[in-house]
Amino acid sequence: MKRITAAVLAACVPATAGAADIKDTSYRDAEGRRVQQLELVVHAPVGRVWQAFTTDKGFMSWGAPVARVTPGNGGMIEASYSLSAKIGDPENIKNRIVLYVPEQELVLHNEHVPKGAPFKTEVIDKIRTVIRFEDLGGGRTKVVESGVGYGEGADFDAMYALFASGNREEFSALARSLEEGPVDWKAQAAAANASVGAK
Amino acid sequence: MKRIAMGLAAVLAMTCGAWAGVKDDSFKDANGARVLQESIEVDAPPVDVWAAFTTDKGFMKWAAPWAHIVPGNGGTIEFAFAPNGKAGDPANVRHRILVWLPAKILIFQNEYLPPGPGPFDAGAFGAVRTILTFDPTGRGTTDVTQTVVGFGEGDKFDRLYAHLHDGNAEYLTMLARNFGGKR
Repeated sequence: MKRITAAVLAACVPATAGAADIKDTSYRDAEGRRVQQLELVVHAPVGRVWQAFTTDKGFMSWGAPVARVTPGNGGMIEASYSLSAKIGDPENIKNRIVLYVPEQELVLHNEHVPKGAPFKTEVIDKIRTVIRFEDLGGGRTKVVESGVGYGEGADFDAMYALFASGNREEFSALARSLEEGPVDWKAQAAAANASVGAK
Repeated sequence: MKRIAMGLAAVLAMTCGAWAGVKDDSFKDANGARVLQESIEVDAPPVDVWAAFTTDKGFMKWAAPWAHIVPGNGGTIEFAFAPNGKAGDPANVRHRILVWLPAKILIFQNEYLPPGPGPFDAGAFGAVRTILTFDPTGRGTTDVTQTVVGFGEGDKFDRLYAHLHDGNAEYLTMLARNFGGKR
């Protein structure tokens, strides 16, 4: 498990950030808590970007090689980094869809991460990921992802740092898949294995 | 269950559909489902309006005679229509807070309604989500927008939509009056 990202907790993408238009607009809320926020403008219509989050095929084009999305309020995004995983495996990542407004807004709450995740489950449990989709016209869409619920202390600091880099990679992968084509998960795994073998 | 409107608060049984100052921007979403969206301008900054929804004292000023709010993601908004209410009373209404972003966004869903016949189906109410946004106008006031999503088709949702359409408008009016009484 190389990367665990806030939005999907499932992106396992190359560390090479592309030329995607990504801005870090993180801030402190009215009560002084950190809100981790990234904005992406992608050259794809909002309907297609929405499908990238809310359909199996769309999600597997950038987020994870194995995924099943049960749409709607109370639905679920279940995913795994493992090419051999199956839906229903106990170590799959599960994110509950707590809000589902088609082509406008998606809110996720993690319900399960695999063993060995680099943060405490009681810490991730506090976080909600709010993803907003804005049709900019001309076939472009702005995606704003906000991680809310961060507290203070080392555990939250570690998770914040992890997601700060992971979410940026995730957005890069999303943009690449929408603008250039889906991730080739088998090729990526082979490259990763070769890299490990060379060391 | 005589009155259970709500967005957040339980609202009085309705007598008319038009409320001064309430703007109705309801629409159908990209999948064709109804989205109930109403808003009002409140004479107070977002932080103060937020407190009216998210503190016991603030909530009891305008929405219900007794309330207890557990703040934060996963928290609760529990309230009663009687002034002698107490936490956990089966006559209370309880909402689960899904997203808590101070002075900006509050999202919740109903988790519990008192037993008994009511103006709408409790299951349908539990299926929808309510989104409250607090946008500063730049004039020291706040545009409060209440959006309800998740409506399905059929009589249960039709009745719920009709009830919330009027009930939420009334409760937004009550909120605005709490801060100035002009609207």
